[in-house]
Amino acid sequence: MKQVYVRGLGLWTPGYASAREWCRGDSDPSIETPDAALLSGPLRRRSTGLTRMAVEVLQQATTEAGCDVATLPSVWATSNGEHTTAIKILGMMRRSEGKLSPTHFHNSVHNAASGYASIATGNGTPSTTLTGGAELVASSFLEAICHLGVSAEDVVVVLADEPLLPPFDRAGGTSPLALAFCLSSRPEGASGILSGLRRDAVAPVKHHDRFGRLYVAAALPLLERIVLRRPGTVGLELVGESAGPVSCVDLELIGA
Amino acid sequence: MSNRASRGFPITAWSTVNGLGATTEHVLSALRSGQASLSPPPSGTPFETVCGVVVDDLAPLPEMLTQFDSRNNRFVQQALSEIEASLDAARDRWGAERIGICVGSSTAAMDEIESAYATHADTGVIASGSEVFARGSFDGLVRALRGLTGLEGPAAVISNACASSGKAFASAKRWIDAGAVDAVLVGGADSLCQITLRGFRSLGLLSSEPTRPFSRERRGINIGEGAAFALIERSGDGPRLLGAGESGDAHHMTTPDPEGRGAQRAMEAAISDAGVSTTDIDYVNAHGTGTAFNDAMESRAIRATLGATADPIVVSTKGYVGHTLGAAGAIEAVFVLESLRNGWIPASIGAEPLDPEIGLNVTTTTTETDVRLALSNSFAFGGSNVSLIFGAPE
Repeated sequence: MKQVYVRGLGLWTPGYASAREWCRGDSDPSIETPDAALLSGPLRRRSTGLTRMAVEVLQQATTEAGCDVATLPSVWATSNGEHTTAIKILGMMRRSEGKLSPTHFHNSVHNAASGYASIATGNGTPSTTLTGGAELVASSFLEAICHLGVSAEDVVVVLADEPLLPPFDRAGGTSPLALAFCLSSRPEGASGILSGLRRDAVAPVKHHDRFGRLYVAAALPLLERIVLRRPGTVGLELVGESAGPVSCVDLELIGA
Repeated sequence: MSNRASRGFPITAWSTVNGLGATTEHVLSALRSGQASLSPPPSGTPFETVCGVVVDDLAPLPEMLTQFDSRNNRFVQQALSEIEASLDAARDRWGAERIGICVGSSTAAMDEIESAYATHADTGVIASGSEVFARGSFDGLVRALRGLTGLEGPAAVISNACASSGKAFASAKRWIDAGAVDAVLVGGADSLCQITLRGFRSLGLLSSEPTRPFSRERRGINIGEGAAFALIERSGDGPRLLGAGESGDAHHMTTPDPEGRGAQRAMEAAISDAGVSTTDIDYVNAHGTGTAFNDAMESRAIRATLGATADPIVVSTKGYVGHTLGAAGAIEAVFVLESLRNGWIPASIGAEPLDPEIGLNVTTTTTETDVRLALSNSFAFGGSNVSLIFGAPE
């Protein structure tokens, strides 16, 4: 498959508001909620924590890449989706004769974050939300790379998830995580090159203490290697998900 | 057709299960005879409505996949069972690792999660949160699909609400266009659950009576359930997926842009991708949900896109099976493929008396006619739009 260029990154998790802060281990306890400055007024009030986190990293990655967030096609990935909202709805259905809040209902769709982002920025370009588990990160990159191969010069991949809540808290992770990668078919300003997206006999991604089995955390080593300048073949699946080959991609670096 | 026409990719097999029946043959026979299948939701609701319910008793998943057994995955298994021979042939031809899976779903098996939550609330016991998620999650959908098909290419679930499986066709085309795979098992699956029934009710969009798309007496949607699959290959025989267009309204989370600009851009992009002329489109499978907003917006967008010289037959099939949400694009693609192969267009039931503001050739009887090109629309919350162009076999 064709090679693509990485032009911008984004990361948000409590304590860290950029990819570089994360890679430096520079935690700031005052960072408890994402800025998500693209959302204002009613959009901000109605949006969920997952949406604000995703919109925050969208803005970080597109700003670093110098891409116009209002015209960029996007691929969004979330495994648990708006699980927090769904749990609220399930509770509401038991308490109030089954009546739901319409805002909670429309916030519960997996593509809520992309919807809010498109309204906030006036972006009418294609936007696809992927979900699933072990293969989620790899399929998101596949979708984005195919966009670049067929119909777009730039595309942003936004991955965001929150841990499952009781009584479904199997993931064991404690922190939400959002990551973004602005990819391009153009090399200008790029820091890395991705190629060879495939399944191969490579090491899967170990669980991070902070994120447990949060599937989007499988993209964390790729982001860290780009920032820390460590090229090589990078796994895109968490350990223990499949017995066979693991989705991976080759990373080369550009510049000094 | 213009000289720029894309050859697209052939669709070599397809199948569906939905409220009209558990086999494609039963579904298409009922569709052709203009027979709706809407009934009260089996799980009950504190308000009146009707749904497209799969009433057949479907087989559980095999023992090795028991952990993923759910109503939704039984729909998947049932639909896949009809195209096994074509999947085997494609696997022999391209290799299992060169065939992708791309499926759309808005809620997967949410009914499993609702049931486990209710049991936990009543008893304080949940058998195993992870088991519930294996059955109920989108990950469980992917794993069931892998287990049932043995396909080893890339696999993705698209969840753009009601545009999910329409967009799965767009992604599948992109994957083959980009050379990532040689074939894709594309489809959609969604099952009835309380969240969607009560959620659409909360928005005032759920009709208590059978839905009436394009009628001046339309009162909203009915929800349906089911699954559909299609096998798209790089080459072969069959009707073709010629073009796909996607857009965002950038307007509102639940209400479409009343001017239909986003829908129009999706249709124009699909027509451009297919390289066809608007006057060659014989048939439009409309999103046609039966809400006041959607049908007014969509008809405006169709008129603006196709222009005054085109006069295709326009049909909504939501009156037969309800709005099957994330599965709608795939289920309706099967209806369109049947039209292209066998030369008939279903009646748009419930449309009479037609809303004079619609201004389209909405046809309320089954039409026997050759179809060369068909356009199929799916629109969703978040302003997500997708349009597909399908062509008759070459």
